[in-house]
Amino acid sequence: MNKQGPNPKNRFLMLLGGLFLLAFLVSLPFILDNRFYLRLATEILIYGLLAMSLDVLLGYTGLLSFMHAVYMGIGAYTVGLFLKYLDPTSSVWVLLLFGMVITAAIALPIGWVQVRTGGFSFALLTIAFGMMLYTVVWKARDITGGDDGLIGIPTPNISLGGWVIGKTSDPITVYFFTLAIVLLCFLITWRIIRSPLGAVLESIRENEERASFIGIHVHRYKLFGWMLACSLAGVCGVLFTLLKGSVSPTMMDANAGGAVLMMTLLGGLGTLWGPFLGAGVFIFAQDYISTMTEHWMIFLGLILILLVLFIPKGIAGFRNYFTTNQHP
Amino acid sequence: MPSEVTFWVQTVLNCLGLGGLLLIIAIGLNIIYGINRVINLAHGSLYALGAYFGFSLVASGLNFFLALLISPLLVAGVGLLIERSVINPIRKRPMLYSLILTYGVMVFLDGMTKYIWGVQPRFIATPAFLSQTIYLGGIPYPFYRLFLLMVTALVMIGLTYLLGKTKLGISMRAASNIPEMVSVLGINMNLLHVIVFALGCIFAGIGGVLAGPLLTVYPMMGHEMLISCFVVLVIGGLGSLRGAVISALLVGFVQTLGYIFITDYAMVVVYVMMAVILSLMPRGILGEGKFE
Amino acid sequence: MKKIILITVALFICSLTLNFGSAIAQEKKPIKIGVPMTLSGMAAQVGVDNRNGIVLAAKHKKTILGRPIELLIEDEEGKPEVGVRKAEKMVYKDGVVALLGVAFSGVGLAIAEAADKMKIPFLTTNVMTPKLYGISKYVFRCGQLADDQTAMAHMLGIKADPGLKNRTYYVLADDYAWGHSCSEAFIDLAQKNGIKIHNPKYDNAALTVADWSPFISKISAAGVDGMYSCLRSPVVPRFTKQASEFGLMKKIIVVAGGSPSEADLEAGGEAEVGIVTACAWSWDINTPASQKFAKAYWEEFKAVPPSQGAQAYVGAMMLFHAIEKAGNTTPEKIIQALRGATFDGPYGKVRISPKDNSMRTPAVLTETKLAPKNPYGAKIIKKVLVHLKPEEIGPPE
Repeated sequence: MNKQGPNPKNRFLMLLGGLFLLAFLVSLPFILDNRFYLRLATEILIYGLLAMSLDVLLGYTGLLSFMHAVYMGIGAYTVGLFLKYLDPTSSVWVLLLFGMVITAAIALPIGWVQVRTGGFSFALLTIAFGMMLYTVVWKARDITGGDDGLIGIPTPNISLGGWVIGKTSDPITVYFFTLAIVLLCFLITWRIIRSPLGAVLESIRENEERASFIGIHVHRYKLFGWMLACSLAGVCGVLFTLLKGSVSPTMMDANAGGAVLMMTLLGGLGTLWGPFLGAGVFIFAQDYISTMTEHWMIFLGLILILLVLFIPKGIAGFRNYFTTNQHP
Repeated sequence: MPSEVTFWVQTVLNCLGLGGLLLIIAIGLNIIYGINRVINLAHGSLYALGAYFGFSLVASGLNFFLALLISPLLVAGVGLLIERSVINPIRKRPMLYSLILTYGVMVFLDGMTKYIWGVQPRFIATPAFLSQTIYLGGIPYPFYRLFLLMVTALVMIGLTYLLGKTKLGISMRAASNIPEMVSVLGINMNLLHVIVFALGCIFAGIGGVLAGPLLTVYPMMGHEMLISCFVVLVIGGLGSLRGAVISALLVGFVQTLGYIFITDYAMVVVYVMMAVILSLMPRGILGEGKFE
Repeated sequence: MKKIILITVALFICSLTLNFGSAIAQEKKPIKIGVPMTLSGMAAQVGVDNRNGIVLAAKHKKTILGRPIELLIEDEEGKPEVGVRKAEKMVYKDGVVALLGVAFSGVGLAIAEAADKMKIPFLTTNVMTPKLYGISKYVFRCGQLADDQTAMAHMLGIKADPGLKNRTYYVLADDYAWGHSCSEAFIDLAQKNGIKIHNPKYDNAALTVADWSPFISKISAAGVDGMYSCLRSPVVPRFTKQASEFGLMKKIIVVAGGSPSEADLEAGGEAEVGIVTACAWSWDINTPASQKFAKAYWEEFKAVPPSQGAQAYVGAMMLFHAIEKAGNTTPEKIIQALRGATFDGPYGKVRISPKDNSMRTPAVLTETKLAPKNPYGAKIIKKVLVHLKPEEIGPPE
């Protein structure tokens, strides 16, 4: 696997490209004069981060999860309940922390059990535990509203220090807030992946046995990858609640889990930024096609099939992933 | 007949019935995984397709038993088309891609099914003698469910014979264990893959036609069945036939009894069971790869 | 990297083109009404029936304020967050003047909240949850009976019929919000009216249950002679068919809190006879207005005219006429016109009460029987047992 550090020229180009992209994203609210598209863009950013967190789990640590959306749901519900019943005027920073911590706390014991296995068993365990969590949320109707969803969630202000930047009900404010958080998470994750820690994760992905032979505590690192992915998912959940103002179990069911997996794969595994594109394409395509026809499923299925056949490396293309035979 | 006895006889038969149906469908999924190394997420949709074909065949006047024979073949036809056109080309790629691909196929098939047959639930009409209530020593029980059990038993006997005594069956067992050796021995792996995939589809189709009169034919039927099948496979061990039988019965019992005694949390119990077994015995009860 | 720049430029161009789309849309003449509806998933048939009713209403009404009606029908898949997204799109991008439809309570509640924020009128044709009462001045309910109205209609019917009054009822509910709401409303009324309930804590069936045999055995063993079902419409015929195979339908009468749709009854055939259910309309109602609607529905869709189709039709007409009465399309005028609005349609005069923005409607208690010869090729008819007046089923004002 080619992992040469970027030489100065490449680095410069990457930085330029990154700035270009950043400029575009920041000016987006002013290019799009329509509130709906801005909110769609915000939603794409959030799901992009979720897909990226799954890339951390799958593309870098080599663990497949079919129900990753569940952890976003936990973050979303936690914050929704907090705002509704505990403190409607809470600071968004407290909310972010709270959502992330609770999600991590729930993900920890589950992860501990799951990382003892690998491959397909791991994937199936994610389904088992994911469905259990989903059922709990569904059944606790008195608290979560069950499938009626959690509605009437207050919209707090976004403030920095003492300075109130805006309300979360304002599309532009919430867009910039989401953009800032997503960028922050992306940069932090990028740093972690590029560090020796990231290299260890990738070595586990490539060949678990070999990694343990050279003395790596495989379980510990797998757990780390899992925790990072789930914590990021928790953050996504918080952002989601702040954007939408309501939460429902459908955002964390088996369908949602499958959808986020598709986004990650479409975007390109092992790239960290590819999944953002995957999320954009997926959400946009699903929304656009379902406007055109009620038989949107046919087209979505075809697009997925064609993508796998002809653009197998995802939109972003990936580095040497899965060079070895991965049988569970 | 005291109601206690009635209740328990009916319940045990119900458990076996559900287990039997799960088994037929799960086996199809199992052999496709064991030999083709493809996790066919579209399997549930093929099962649903079998039910819909069965419905159309019977609605157009065909005898139910003929439909039971023909519909699985139609499903196999569709399956083969899919296998040759999209699944086979990506065989060499990591298994992950077959997952997205079959997911796409599943969405596509679901959409097509909805487009062709509409969203309303359908029933498959069965001949009068099948849908009657028979009395086992005074205990009422639908004859159709007993018929289901009989068909399951027949299918299992057929499969055992196939695997044990025929060249195809032996090739299948070998291929599930050591694929490289099999092609070295001169068996045409390509042909084997095609046959096995078709066979898997046939099982799905049979399951669909059998389930149709009982559970009604409706667009989401594949999804619900698929999840239960995965649980069966995982517990029994991917690729193990004997394991599938045991776990199908186990899941049948747990699910049915769960619905009676815990009602709302029944499926959670099934999931917990899967989680416990997977954590302690990641390769399933009987271990995987042993195709017998 | 070059790739990043290329992709960024592509995104930039895309976002520009999106604007052109919306600019053009603003200039069109028709009155646009957004119809988010569940057209896939487990309640798809309900969605289709509702949609058909709304489409028929638009066809009959033709114009509002001299402008043609344009319906924007989109599938929200029964998911609240998709519903909210569709609603926002319809309001912000497509410029609809009102939202109409929705099959599920969960989606309905989410869109109700969004409609309130966007200050857009929203009229639901199928949402039954009591949580919708007075939820927002922009949100109205007309069409399908609400949970409490359904429970009351059934209770009145049961009390009036000696064959039903003395039975002990086993209550079975689908395990989701509506199932609970439906059961609780009924059990509450039953206890107040002296009707016997076998299991006041009512049993729940997960939504994924396809094989009802465990429940059927349980009901048999309980020895009850009646059942109140809070199973959703598509599931009821499946249950009764399986139950009849166990010989259970000979022993119990099923009162269906969730009215099985005509399409599902047709699919089940003879096994579906003997289900008692309340709804706003059945094609058995013999008034000229009712028959006219039934014929029109049949002409248009070639399907047995369903109760939910008629209910959605009335809801849609209510909205169209209110916009007409308002004189223009400003939200404030429309909601003012909706409060206290009335519409005389297939099943009589329906009125939206200003107290809680929900309708007061006549209803019928029906029992499924084998149908006499009829122009729709239907095998099963929901035969009207009792006509119920709006003030009888409430809720009180």
